[in-house]
Amino acid sequence: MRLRTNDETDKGVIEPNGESRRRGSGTAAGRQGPAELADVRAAAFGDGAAFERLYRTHVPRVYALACRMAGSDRADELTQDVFVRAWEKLGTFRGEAAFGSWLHRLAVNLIYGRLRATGTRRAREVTGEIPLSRARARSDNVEIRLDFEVAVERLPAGARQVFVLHDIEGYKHREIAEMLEITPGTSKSQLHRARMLMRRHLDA
Amino acid sequence: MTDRRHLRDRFRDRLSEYIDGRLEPQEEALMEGHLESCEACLRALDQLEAVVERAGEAGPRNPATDLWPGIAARIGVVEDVAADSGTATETASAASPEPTVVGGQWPWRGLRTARGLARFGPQLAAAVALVWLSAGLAWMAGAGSAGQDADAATGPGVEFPSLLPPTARQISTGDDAATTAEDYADLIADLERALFDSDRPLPPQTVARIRRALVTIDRAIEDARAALLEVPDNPYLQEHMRNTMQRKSEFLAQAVRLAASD
Repeated sequence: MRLRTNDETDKGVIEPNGESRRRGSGTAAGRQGPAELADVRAAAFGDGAAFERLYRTHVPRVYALACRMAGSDRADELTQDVFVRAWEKLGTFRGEAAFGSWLHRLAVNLIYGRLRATGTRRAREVTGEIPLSRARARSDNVEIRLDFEVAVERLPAGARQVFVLHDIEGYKHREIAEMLEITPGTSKSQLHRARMLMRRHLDA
Repeated sequence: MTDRRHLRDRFRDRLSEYIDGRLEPQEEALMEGHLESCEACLRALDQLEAVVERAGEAGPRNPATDLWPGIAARIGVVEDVAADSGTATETASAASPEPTVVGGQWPWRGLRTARGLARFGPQLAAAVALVWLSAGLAWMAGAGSAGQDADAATGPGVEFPSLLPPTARQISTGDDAATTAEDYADLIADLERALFDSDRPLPPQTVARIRRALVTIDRAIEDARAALLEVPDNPYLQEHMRNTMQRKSEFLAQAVRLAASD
């Protein structure tokens, strides 16, 4: 009856590449072919064309993360910041993880750091639950998807970030706890809170 | 009534953990027993599972506008409108003179400004250190520009033959057969001996700077070597590897010349 989610990796189900599952990550995160590795190396030496190829491959995932964590109004700016930071830090990429995973972690840290710095987190927590009711699901698939995205954006910040990282991006609670500087227990309770709020929306 | 509600809330609060398979077996059995008799919790479970399922289907999203031009501008690369490849970019090398390079083609063509240079990490730092240290050494030695090639650095007209090891002369004269990995290692060893074990030692600060630069250059070589292990047929990496190794030898050769000129 129940779903099996990424949390089962916490209980010892290890993915073949040693990384937790990234459900929302689409195609780019966990795979790294020789061509991408060559692009990473070339970009680290200043090859702009190679970096553009990396950008084209990974921007959908980074942009989606920015939308869901910070809101679509800030997503463009944050996505650009992520890639500029990645460019600056390419020299530190040692290839132990896939480039997509490295980039995604960098994106999470940067976006969360910005949210904390600007106090968005606190503000959204205060206004949290109310707007969800405005984002009602409709019968059309595209609209449902858009409504889902709107509903995610309107979750209270703490719940939203955990929900995005866990249920969409596939991180485990201990990873989330580390990234967001919270306890795994808080991560679990925020996840439940987010799901309960989302449930109301999707059931509307 | 209140007790039943309280009991239901207790189970409902654990539904996410149940979905995620995080309940202990005993708790899981209790939950399933409760779900058999509680319509409200069963409905909530279905809804929560739908949320999780929907979240799992949420995929990547493309921005409405292309963000690359803004990124390219910020990192110092610009789009090449004349490029024949669809998405290729080139650097604005014409915007400022390229750093002078001792021999060979400068591979870091993404560089536009000195500020941009500083952003490329340790590998680029190696290049910067190499270029400017080479240029500085050449200037201090007063013997030619930093832009001269390897032959000029070690060839006719150089007045320090006693300090330059034979391997340096052999390789720099373009004897391809001699440019094997073994010969290269010999060359570097000879140059380092000539530089650091000379009867006329360099000032400690200069030695420290040279060693630091060499460490960074070595790291760049190691990175290139590691990349080539992954993609041995990549022409860019092959050329980059060759250039980086060549620059190390040229850097050392110039440092030797400086030591001899003091």
